[in-house]
Amino acid sequence: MMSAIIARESVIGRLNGWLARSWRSDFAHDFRRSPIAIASMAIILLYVAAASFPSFFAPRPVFDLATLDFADAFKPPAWLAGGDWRFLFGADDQGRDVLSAIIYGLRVSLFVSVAAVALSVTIGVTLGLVAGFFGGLLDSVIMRIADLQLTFPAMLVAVLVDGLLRASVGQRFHEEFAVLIIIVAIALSGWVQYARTVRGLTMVVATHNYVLAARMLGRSVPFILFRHILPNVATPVFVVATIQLAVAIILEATLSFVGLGIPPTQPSLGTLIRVGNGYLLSGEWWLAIFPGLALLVLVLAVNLLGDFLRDALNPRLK
Amino acid sequence: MLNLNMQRLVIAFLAAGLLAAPLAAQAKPLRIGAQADAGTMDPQAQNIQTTITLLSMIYEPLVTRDKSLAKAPALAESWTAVDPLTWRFKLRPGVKFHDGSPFTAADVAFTIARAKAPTSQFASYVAGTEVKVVDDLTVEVKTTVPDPLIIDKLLYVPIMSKVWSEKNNALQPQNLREKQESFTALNANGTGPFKLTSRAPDSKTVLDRVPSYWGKMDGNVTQVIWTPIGSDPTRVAALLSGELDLLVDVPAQDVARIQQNADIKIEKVDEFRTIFFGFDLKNDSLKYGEPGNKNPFKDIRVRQAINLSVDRDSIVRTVMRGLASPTTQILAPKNVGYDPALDKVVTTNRDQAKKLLAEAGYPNGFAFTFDCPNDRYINDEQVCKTMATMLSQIGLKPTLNAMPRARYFPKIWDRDTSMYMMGFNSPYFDGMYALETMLMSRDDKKGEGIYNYSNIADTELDQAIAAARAELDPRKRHDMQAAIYKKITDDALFVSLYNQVLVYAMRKNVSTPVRPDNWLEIRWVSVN
Repeated sequence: MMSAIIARESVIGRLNGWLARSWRSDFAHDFRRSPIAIASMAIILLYVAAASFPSFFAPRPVFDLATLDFADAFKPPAWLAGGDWRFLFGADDQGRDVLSAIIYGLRVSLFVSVAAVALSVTIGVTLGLVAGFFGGLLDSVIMRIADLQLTFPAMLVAVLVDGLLRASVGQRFHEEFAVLIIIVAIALSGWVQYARTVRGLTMVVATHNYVLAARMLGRSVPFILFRHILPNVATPVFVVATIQLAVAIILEATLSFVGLGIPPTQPSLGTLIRVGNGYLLSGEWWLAIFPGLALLVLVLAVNLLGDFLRDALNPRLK
Repeated sequence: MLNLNMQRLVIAFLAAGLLAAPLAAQAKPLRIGAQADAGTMDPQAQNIQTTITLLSMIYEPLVTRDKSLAKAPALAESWTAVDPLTWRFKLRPGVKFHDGSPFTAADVAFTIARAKAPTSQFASYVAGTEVKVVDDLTVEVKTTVPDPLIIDKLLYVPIMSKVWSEKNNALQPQNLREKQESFTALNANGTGPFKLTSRAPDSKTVLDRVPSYWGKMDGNVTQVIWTPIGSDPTRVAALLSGELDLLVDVPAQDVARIQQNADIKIEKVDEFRTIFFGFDLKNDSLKYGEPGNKNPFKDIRVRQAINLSVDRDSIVRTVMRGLASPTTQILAPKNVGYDPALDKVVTTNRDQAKKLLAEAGYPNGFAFTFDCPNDRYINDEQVCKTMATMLSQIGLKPTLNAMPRARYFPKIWDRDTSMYMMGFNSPYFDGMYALETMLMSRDDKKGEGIYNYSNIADTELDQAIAAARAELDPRKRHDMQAAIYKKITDDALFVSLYNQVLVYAMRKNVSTPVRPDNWLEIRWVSVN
């Protein structure tokens, strides 16, 4: 009983201490003094919150077709003539609320891109650690594959992987696996960045004395890689991942825009823009513009935050 | 002296200019944009109007239509009835195929025999005919029963060269359903005003005028550049920016925007094409639906409920922007067999629909997948999306499976569907073709029921259609057909939505008549 309380207090105490130290750190100091970073972070948090609890943020249901009313079809944004405040950003051809569709679309876009980045970090970092630590033939093989892949644009690699996976899954099941396929496609197109970054740093870190000491103590290779080397190469990975997140969001939107990504039954932002694109000439501009703006703001915020992280976490820029 | 030389020079320049001017003026390319490509260059492999239209610039049938849509001679100079079963065609002398070989009676016999092959999609036009070569320029076409429509049917059978087909191993139509590649998929050799210059499927097809063409051209087009562009806004933008001269399938929602452009004009006509949905009426369990479910579409109450769920006015207003007219039957006006009495539009009644579903044993609806093309009819995918919404509103749980026509038609040809979208345009302005091919029990040899994707097998219906087909009195035949169409509507075999309005958009310097069967006749197109 007593010991539990002490344990809990010590946890809280340690948390407090960590928070206090974080607050006083250079990083937090930089963050507090950068309005751009704060604004970006706020936007990202808002997006993440909306994507996490769409039913709370979205004013109207999106997927229950029975709730739609054709009388609402093509309602313009609320502030325009003929608009309706139930549809802030207007309604689509089925009478579906555009704002709600954006929020649900955001959920898909964010999920896909975060999962894709997580997967490509895992692949890239592992391969980079292995290549940098062992060197030799293994290093050559991994890095030549990476070089080879770098000669293709990420988009092309993603389309290729997407096509191969679709063909192997079969047209019939494609819709069920669409999200998984696109995550793998984006992840495989982005791992090289991490592998190259991590490999270079690993080669340096691997010669440090604490690594040599661990090796002499007979620690296993995986333990040394993940316990001793990884923490020392992680910071740049974090920065690259943030910037790559923006790339992944755009890549997903592009794939969906050209019809290779997420099917219209569970639309992402890119799918919404694709569908809306069909109405650009006919006057229903809000169907493409608002999802486009939502995407623009998100990518801008992620990029600006990434820039901030790169500067703040790079000791050489101090 | 110098002066004289100058004069000569001036005269020479003037002469050169005079010669050059008409030469430059003669090049009249016509850049056509369409939502999808012709699926093949084989004139018997794909019975889709896009393909028929493009190939009609290269190939010619025995009989064609004039501007009043009356039958007119083409490769046949004249035709006469020898007896009720036999027509004799006098062929046009001196006509050559693009490869230089002469056109003769043997080519006619070969073409009609080829059209009967199992891989042909035009078998129903020539089923049961016998061709007798009388001499090099005379053929007789015999039918087993008197067929008042045989001349109209031959309009859809353009003549191929026997020698060329034999040389290139093209004796059978390309089998598109098995995705077969064949010589005729990429090559063509007809007698028409244009020859195939280059063909890149799904991207660009170029046809050039044949200088030695036998016939008369009302228009002046010297080159056709055919570019399929799947995306609606991209296709319209290409027209607006001057990259295309003519669009043959303008998306309804863009008509208003295009009209604002001073360089573009719009031509409209009520198309003879009805858009409707069909159902699997054969299988006892639903192929694409909740597993173990019995096939609800076989129950007339379910089909009636779907019919009541459709808000045709909303579809016409929002998706088709008024460029369609609601209908409840599967035949468009002005066709033989059309009965305006059947075109009373059903008022949407969701409560009644739900009641019917409950009576049929589906108070909570049922889940199913329905198939639609996304590049065949105007706004087809949007219409299907709207349909899904409307079906949801009576408690059904539909899933839309939209796909390009190249995948869609082979799928429904295999009857691999539970509910499908269809847009049918009965050729030769007569409802008989639709009855024969969509409602009769399937018999590929006779060309009957080839588009009977619903797998309807009703002997009584077969007999009624056969009787109407054999009736020679036009008045009686019309009434018999109208009675069959009434039964189709009463039994709710299909759920019809609307008849399309066909919209062409073209640059101001282009002029062409717009036919209600969406057959662009290149000989009538002018570019100024």
